[in-house]
Order: sequence, then structure tokens, then C-alpha cells
Amino acid sequence: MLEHILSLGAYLFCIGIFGLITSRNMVRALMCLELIFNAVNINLITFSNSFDTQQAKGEIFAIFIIAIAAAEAAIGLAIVLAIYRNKNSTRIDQFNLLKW
Amino acid sequence: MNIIELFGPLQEIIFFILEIGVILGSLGVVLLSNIVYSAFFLGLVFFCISLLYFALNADFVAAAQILIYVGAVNVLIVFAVMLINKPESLKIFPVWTVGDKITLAICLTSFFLLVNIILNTSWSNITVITESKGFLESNFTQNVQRIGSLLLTQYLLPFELLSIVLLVALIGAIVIARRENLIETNKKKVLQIKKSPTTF
Amino acid sequence: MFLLPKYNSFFIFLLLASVIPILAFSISKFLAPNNTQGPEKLTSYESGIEPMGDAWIQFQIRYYMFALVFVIFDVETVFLYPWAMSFNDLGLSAFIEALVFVFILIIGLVYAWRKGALEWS
Repeated sequence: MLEHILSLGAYLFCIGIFGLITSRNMVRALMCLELIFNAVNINLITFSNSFDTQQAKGEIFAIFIIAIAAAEAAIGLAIVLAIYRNKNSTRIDQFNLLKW
Repeated sequence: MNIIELFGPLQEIIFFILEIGVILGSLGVVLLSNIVYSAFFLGLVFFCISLLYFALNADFVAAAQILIYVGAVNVLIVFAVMLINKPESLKIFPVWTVGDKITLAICLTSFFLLVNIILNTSWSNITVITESKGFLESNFTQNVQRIGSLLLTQYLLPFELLSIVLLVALIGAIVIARRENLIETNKKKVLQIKKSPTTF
Repeated sequence: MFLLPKYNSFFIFLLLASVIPILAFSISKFLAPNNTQGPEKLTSYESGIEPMGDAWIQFQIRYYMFALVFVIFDVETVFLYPWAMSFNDLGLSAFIEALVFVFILIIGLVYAWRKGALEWS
């Protein structure tokens, strides 16, 4: 049972990385980043449930990750909106302005 | 048939349904062309993960997941998708390039590597050692109270730093996202200054 | 692996509550007659008049600003719930620390208010 849920977390992590690398739309990349955060959270909660039932350190770490991921999604989407307003395109391979 | 004996396979069925939801939802997020459908499948994934947390005895984190992720972050993503509304192509699944296939191969190998590591680790050794310490007290205190008291005594510094992180995120996102209003109010002021010399 | 049985009835309820609407919709789809499919049946409903204009409206930035402010204060609220649940067991210092948390976020609220992120006009 423990291994079952840990492999679910591993699957979600790999799918998140796959989507993050191959997505051409910026918003989809942010959505796959949220998938990666949730995979990590699943692992933390599973370990907290199996090994640390009294103190729940994994749950507290997971709740901090949820809060930080929410703040990061807000800023990331604001940046995406600003870029879209300037260049009128959402393709992620056209934003190489900082490249030398 | 005793109803208490029904609960053994019930948890297996619940886990099975939730895992199917997570797997199909994440495939929908990554593979669909229409990004609005992707955003709704992401909401499904968040909801199924929250129910998994309920099944894993983490009820406060499950409620926080529904409140924050489904209620706020998913809505934010849907609003951002609506603001960036470009008519896309009509296919359901996008075309795959060579880079996509290489990435798929790498992700598949890493997934199988991780599953291999998970299945070969001896979890039962760790479980026997840690579960013998004070097993009975965890049933009687509520989860939220324990998390609350831990949050304000032992993890106080991350708690206060989190308030600063949220403040910075709020101010930063407002500054970045409101440039449009700033440009429009500046344009109105310039037009008014240009019009006013004609009255003299 | 430690699974408490206290949420079992909740899951049974959730399962039944998902199955009943699916059952209702599928029975009605199965039993309804389907020989009245004209082209007018698929147009959108607009209180009896002819539908005019496009279904997609221009989305404004103020919707995003509201959702953004909501995200930040929702996270703050979720962190205030465990403080509220364990308020009686903790002393004065925890009260002051939570007040510091809320005060730092009130600074953010004042900023959002002054910069017009909460305007709806």
C-alpha cells in the first residue's frame, strides 16, 4: 500500500516533468509545475502517515508547500499575462530576449 | 454480512478509483490541445489528490488542498487561460516532434527507475522501529489542533516568513499585472495636456 | 500504513452522491425519444428571442486582480484555522505571533486597496 501511493507520486512527478518540458503554451507549463508540487506533497503525506503519526512533520511541510505553490502560481501567471500583453503570443520558444 | 468487515475492500476500491482519477486527469492535463480542458482536468487531479489525503488521515491538509488549490489556484489558472484566449488548432491531441519523443523516453526510464527503487527498499524495517513509540496517543487528539499548536510553537519562524512571502507575492503580482491600467491613465493625462493649450 | 476508519462513511456517501446523478442522466438519455432533432434545437437559449452576438466576451484584467487577491488571502485564512482550533491551549505569545502574521498581510491589503486592485468600476 505504501509503495502503491509512492509510485503514484513518482508517476505524477514524471508526467509533470514531461509536460513542463514539452508544452508550447506557457500556462500549460505552469499547470505541470503544479502537478510536480502535488506529487511531492503526496510523498510527504504518505511518509508522515506511515512513519510519523504522532508529530505530523510531513503534513506541516506539505501545508507550507501548498502555500508557497499558490503564491508562485499567482506571480507566474502575472508574468505570463504581462508577456502576452507585450508580444501577443503564448509560445514559449519565442521568449529568448535574455539570451546572448 | 457485517458492515465493519466491508471496510477492508472499501478502502481498496476508494484508492483504486482515486488513482484512476489522478492518472487520467494528469494525462488529460499534459496531452490535450485545448487548454481550457487541461485546466478542468487539473481541477479533477487536485480534487482526487485531496480525497487521497483524507484516506491517508491528513484531514487538515486535504481541506487546505481543496480550499487553496481547487478554490483559488485552479480558478486563477482558468482566469489566466480566459485572458490569453487564442483560437487554437482543431485537433484533440497535438502533433509530436522529435524532442517530445526523446523527453518521453527519458521520463519513462526515470519513472521505471523510481518504481524499481521504491519496490526494492525495505520499508518494513523502518515501520517496525518508528511505530513502537507512543502509538495510542495519536488516536485521541484532533489533527487540526495538533498542527495548530506545532505551527505556532515549533515552526513559528516558517510561519512568520510565510507571511512575508505572501506579502511579496501580492505586491509583485499586482505591480506586474497592472501595467495596462498605468499606461492607459498616462495616455489620458497626455491627451488632456494636449487639449488644454487650445483654450488659452 | 495507518488508515483511520473514521472517514469510511464519508467515502460511501461521496460514492453514492456521485453515482445518483450519473444514473439519473443516463436513464433519461436512454428513455428519451430522439426523433425530434432539428437544427434549431442546438442553438443557444436567450429567453425566447433570437440569439444575437458572440458567446465569448472580452475578458478584463480586473477579474484576474480579484482572483489574485483572493488567492493570497485564502492562504492566509487557511493558516488561521489551526490557530483558531488550538487557541485555548496556547498562551499569550502565540496570540501575538498570529497577530503579527495578520498585520503583515494587512499591509498587503492596504497596498492592494491604494493601487486600485480592488476597483470594480
